[in-house]
Amino acid sequence: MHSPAQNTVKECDPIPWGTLWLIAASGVFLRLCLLWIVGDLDLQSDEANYVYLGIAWNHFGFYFDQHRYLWPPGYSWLTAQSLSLFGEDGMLAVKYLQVLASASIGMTTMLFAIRLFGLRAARIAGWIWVAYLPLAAFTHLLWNETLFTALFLPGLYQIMRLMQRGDDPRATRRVLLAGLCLAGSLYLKESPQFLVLVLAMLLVPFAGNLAEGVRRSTLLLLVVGACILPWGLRNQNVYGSFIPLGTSLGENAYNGLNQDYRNFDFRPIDVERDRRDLPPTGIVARHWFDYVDPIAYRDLPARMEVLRTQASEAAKASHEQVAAGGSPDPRAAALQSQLLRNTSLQERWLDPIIPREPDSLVEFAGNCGWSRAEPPEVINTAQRSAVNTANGFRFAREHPGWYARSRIRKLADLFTPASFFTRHQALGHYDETPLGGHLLRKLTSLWAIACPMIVLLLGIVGYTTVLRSRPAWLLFGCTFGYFLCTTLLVAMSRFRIPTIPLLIVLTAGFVVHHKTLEGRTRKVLAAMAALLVVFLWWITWPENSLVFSEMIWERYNA
Amino acid sequence: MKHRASILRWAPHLALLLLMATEYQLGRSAAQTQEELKVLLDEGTPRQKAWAIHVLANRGDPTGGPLHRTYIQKAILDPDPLVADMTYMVDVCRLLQPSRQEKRLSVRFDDSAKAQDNLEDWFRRFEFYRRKVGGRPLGGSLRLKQQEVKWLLHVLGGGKLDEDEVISYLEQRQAGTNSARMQRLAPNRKREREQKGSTGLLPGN
Repeated sequence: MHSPAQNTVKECDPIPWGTLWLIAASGVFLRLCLLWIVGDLDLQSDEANYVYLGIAWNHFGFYFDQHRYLWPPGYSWLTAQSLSLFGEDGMLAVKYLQVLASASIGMTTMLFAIRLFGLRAARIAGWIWVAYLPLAAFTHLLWNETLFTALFLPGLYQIMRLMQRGDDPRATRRVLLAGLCLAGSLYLKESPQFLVLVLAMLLVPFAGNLAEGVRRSTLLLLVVGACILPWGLRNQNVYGSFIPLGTSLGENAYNGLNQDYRNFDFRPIDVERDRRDLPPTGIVARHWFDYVDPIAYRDLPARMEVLRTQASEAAKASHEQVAAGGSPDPRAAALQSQLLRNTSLQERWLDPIIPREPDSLVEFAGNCGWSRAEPPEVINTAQRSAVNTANGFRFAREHPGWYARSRIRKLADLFTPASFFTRHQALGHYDETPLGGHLLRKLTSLWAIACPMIVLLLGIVGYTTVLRSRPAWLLFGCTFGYFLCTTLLVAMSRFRIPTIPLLIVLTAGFVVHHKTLEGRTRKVLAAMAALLVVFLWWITWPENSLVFSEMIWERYNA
Repeated sequence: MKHRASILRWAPHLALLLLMATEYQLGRSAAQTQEELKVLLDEGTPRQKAWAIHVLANRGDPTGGPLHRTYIQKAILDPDPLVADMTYMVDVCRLLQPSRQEKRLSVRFDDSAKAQDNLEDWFRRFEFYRRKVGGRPLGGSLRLKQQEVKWLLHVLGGGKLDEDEVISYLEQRQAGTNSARMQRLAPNRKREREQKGSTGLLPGN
């Protein structure tokens, strides 16, 4: 049995491929059953966008941008090919492909676990992957998460193997394979493009000697570079600037570094609640984490009074200025609109609910948010993204306190127990299927919430306690850290999907090796990690519990 | 012998560098100049024209280029459906306020006898225009649904549509959105301003 004291690889241990394939086949079968049960669901959100882009690609012969984003072309290309081959069944064909591709995720998860924690952990990791409903649900949705992870994870696994074995005779083949897998995943999601640089650097110190480390590292970069260069050159031809795969930074800055709080786990839910005449989820949110200029409830009347006085004085001065033949003072209009906005906000926040906690914080609206750069001011996609990015960074610099507070909220959004499965259940997308039935809806939703709660909690505790292999510790840490950094701009449950298999591995490792836990420091670290995760759940608890109780459990009857 | 082995270990690097150099060279030679694109715009096949519009509308600052108001208005009426379809896509709509395209599409709802495009051409353009990705200020309003994908693929394959069925479906979808908007608890000026965007148009109207 592998000891967590080293998490070392025992090359002589044969891998029980039969067991691993059996578990992977079970996972694929379960996902296939889910697909048969829900059938070809109607298109939602970005699913419709991928299909639109695929149809347009087939019709015009090239790939259009998405105005606010320039996504990498992989998923739209696949959709285009599938629609071209299978007609309207093309969408279903992509889903079948995703179900099959999920085997790669399952197998790699188990291989990670076997190398780090032994066969028992691998079996446990495998079965957790089989039963992890939020991950399984992505196979019957037209989002690129499954295919991305199916390529990204094997790439990461090869990197870990290279880091674990400096003298690996198959190092070149491993690097080539890792590069191809990572490059393939970048064609689906460009977000880890800088992670590839980090991974290349990680290869250097673990290759046995510096020359070999540099050789492996540069080879990885060259493979990825050779794969993505053609698309970068195509973008250079079309947009006049070199965009390696795509760009979403500008729009993400607009969404994440701006006055209004945006979380796309809740956005469609709020639209649906609006349609059903239910108050938005924001009414119960812990606003300390998202308001730019928060004030306490008890201070609100005094602040309103000051604003009223300022607005009326400015309006009077402006009238006098106009009467004297001058032009109106723009500050008067700005204050007037700020007063109007605050009055309507006051009604919105104070009227529908009694403030249970007089010290709780409410927004005191200034007009500090910024609008997107749009045509005709800026037409070029790359330039527009750059302008929006600069605006976002300026906004963050101007509001450092808000920035720090709201990033905690982003972390909480990433760690939320909700998922796309529960979002779909809340929105009633499964209503026409057996999964939307009274009992199954409740059971599957509870299960879908339990999955990330268990895996996030135990996975992070596992990382701080039982993962003793230095290469793996660094690799996992860099990967988690990288995705954490990217989601500090905009976060939602979907963005954690590529890291979930790694957390499953750590969960399995913790389950198997938790009894061998020694040392006070590790126990303290584990306790702190667990508390941090619980604290992040506490932040999103009000919205999540509201959505769960009113839209999943009670089905709009509240 | 040992030296040879260690040099050979760098052979994949050399091969990849050569590959990248070739890719770069091919990419550079495939890139078209503004002049070449203008020629394609006038004399190319419909596909080449569409590509030229795509690049000319995106590269650098396209204002003041060959895709001026007169060209676009002419392209809307182009006898080749592919070129005319291009004027409803995101590239052209962000270049010039798509008011002509709006009018041409909405006339079928207002008075179908005055519709200028046949139903299939109209439906294709309506879908490309109204269901465009991320383009609320540029005419996009709702997202594609499977029924529409089915009809769109049918039309792109040369099939015919039933006017009553299509129009009543689209009107019903739009009515659902309008009534949802009407039911909103409070008017959201910021959202309306964002939806209108620089073109001053409210999608869906």
